[in-house]
Amino acid sequence: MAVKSLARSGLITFDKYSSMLAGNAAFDPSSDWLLEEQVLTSAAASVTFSNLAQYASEYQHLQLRIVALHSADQNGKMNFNNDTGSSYSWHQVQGNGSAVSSYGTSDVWMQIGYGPNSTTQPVVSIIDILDAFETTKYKTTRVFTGSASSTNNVKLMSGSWRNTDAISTIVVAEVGGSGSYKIGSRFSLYGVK
Amino acid sequence: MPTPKYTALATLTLTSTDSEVVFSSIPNGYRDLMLVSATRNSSQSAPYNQYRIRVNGDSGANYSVVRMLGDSSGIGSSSESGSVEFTVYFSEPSSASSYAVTVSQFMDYAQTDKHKTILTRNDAPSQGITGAYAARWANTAAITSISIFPPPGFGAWAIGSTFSLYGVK
Repeated sequence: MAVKSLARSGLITFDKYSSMLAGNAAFDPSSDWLLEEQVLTSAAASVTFSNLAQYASEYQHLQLRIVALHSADQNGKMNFNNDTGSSYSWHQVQGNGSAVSSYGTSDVWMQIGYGPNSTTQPVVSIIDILDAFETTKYKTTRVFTGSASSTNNVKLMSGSWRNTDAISTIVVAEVGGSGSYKIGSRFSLYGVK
Repeated sequence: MPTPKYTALATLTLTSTDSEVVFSSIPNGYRDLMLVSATRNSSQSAPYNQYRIRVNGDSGANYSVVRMLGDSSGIGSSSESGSVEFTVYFSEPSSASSYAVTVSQFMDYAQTDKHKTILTRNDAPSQGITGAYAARWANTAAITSISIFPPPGFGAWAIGSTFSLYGVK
């Protein structure tokens, strides 16, 4: 049987590859993507993610991951679309190192992580916002948060924004109005397809 | 421009028992790390079927943890500070057919301006236990290694235990 060698095909230059990618980057079918991130280089009274409608066509859910350095021993809070009316409910089950307790309320915001006044000891929160862009349902959040510090706490929380609007803006801040997140606090927004 | 969130860094499935699993030379190019484990102790029962973590080989009194646990008989919370490692209470004992699942998030692991906080969920099905933990390593150094081990002298990780480390952008 005759064998035709491509090395004698008459091509002047060619590249040989052992992979079908042929030198190209692999396509990554990820479902989870980092969309935006803010790391504070100066103290800030609040952190805002806006113009989120740009993600509505590609993402179903959002996740916020926060590493916050608080200005006082206090909670953080979150609102959507700058709605500061009585549109929220939230509840939690909490361990403080000696006992487990639960709490729930209607409010003008959703409460998130409770942390100490510290430049090195953060409170961390992972906040899932489900069906963030759906216009047929209220928005539900799920929070896993904690701080092993002078404000010892680990919490599982859930919240509801009683509004069917798509989320276009997220604002987080400390509950105390004069508080400002310290330098180094980090806020990362992810989309989930 | 959006960036893929997760990168699988390493996975280990034990084909023989091991008293300690170590992820070392962890790159610093991510925001967080996520460690997903399915574990069973090779020889021990409660209360020695624990899951312990150290970072950067630090065996000093630099770990604090606050826990919230629940099982079929009740709920409770406990804490420790100044410990020489971070202890998750429950892996599965040697008698179990199942593996306990532990997912730990090492937040801002490579940042050198703050202590490291680790959020963990742990579920041990044969014992009917679920737990949530917040831990802090009181050191501003970047995390470059993670060690996972049962209590020293009390068994090892059983064959089939798995440990997967992910970078989170």
